[in-house]
Amino acid sequence: MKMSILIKELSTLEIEFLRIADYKYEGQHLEVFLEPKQLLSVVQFLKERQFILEDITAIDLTPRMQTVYHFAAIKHGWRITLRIWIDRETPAVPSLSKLIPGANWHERETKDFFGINFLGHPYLSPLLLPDEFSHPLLKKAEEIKAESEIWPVRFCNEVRNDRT
Amino acid sequence: MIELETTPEQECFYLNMGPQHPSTHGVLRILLKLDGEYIIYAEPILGYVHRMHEKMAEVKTYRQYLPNMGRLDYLAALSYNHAYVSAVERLTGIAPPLRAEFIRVITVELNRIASHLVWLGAYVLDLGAFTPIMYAFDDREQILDILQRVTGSRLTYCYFRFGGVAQDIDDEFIAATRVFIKRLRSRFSIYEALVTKNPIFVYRSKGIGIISSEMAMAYGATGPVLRGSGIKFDVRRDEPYSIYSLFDFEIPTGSGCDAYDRYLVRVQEMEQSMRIIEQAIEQLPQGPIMLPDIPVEIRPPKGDCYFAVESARGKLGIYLVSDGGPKPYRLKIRAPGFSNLSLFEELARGTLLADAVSILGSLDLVIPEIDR
Repeated sequence: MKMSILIKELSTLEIEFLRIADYKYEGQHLEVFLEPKQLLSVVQFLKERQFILEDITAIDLTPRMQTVYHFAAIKHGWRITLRIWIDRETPAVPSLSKLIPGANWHERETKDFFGINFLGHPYLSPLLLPDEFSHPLLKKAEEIKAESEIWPVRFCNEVRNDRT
Repeated sequence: MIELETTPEQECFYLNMGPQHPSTHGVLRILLKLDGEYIIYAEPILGYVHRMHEKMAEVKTYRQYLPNMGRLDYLAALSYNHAYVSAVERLTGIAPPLRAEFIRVITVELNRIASHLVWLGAYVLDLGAFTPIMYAFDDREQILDILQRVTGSRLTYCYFRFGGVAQDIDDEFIAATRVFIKRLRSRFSIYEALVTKNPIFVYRSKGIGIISSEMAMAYGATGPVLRGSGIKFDVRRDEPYSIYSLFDFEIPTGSGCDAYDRYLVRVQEMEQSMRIIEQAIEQLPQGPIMLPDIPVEIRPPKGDCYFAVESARGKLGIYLVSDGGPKPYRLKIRAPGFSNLSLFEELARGTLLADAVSILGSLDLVIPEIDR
């Protein structure tokens, strides 16, 4: 399967938008931005095409948090990153555990570290941290950065090409 | 596997395996629900060596965080060195000199052999054979001596630097490596007689812990666990990094999907690592081992990047987000053992308790890496 076909098929799904990344600098081929409700259909699409879930994590930003899903295709080495913007006050995304059993622990870990609620998770109890522990990777008010401070020109390639 | 549905609840009992059980290799605890000798339910309970390495990354500078990398996976510390250093280099846009890349490959592959040797000895020890671990540690000792000469440590290496490696290798290192490879090749016949053809070992591992390729993929298993299930995936070949595309090596896979095949895959991988080392030594170029003008306080530009390497246990990924400051804004470590262990719950269901020990061993777990 060619990359162009994959992009074409992905664009027919309900997604916010899609960015072709520069593998040499970013280690990923595609970046897909989603609304929480669009997640399951995209993951189902990737699962059918033999992508495996590498990990689930989050980045604490202001005003919105990001959940990040890394997928890799074992056949051709393609890497796709899914990003979901979620509310910082009541962070919640749908759980992938029913679709991909391997997501179970990654979601529990992300819940430990960020307090994100994975809706529909079968057993969202603390995995690495003690019960009733605070969420250590949430940034303090003075440390937190806006999205534009991390990715000044998020959706064009100018920033990447500056690097020599 | 037995039919478990009919067992009345009151005849089952709970058993804690660990956190100090010898076969959990570290401080992993497994909560088992047993019906006699059969496992009805097994839940790994993590967190006993959790140190929050990802938070430590956010409060240390890039260079200060380097030594942490040796503390995650103490058996294959150089793989973590490689992943972290390369991730920072990728984000900053540094390309290390060619000689440094060769030295990285040689030392990482030596470390991989050492890790597989420890696994081999410890796994067979779990199954009750005491002799092979003596031979395995004898061989591993040679690697530790070789690596100690250049890295200065024997276990928790911190050898790679941004833009190169800390110290050059010399003729003595190369000669010792050649001697070691020759020696290890001659030892494989001993391992074959002691382990591969040992009827007790075969009985304890063949047909035990069968992971179908679909199950391995669903759980995101990588490394020998995935390859033992017949899927030919190796980051070194499929997502080539460093200079692995220069070398000719094979990716051993198994077809039985059981613990025995995972054992065979790892033994064959040692041979492939030796092939890579030999080729790298042959082609080793002269030149600098370090870029001259790397600042002490490295500040990658704003943005994010992912870098994956093939560690001894599977795909090891570092996801790095930088805000342009001296410290990472976010650093995520994708530990291969974490995903490999997560399939244990499904795998152990319905097996004998003694087989669960064999399954656990065949996954090659290093708990500090899983707990991070």
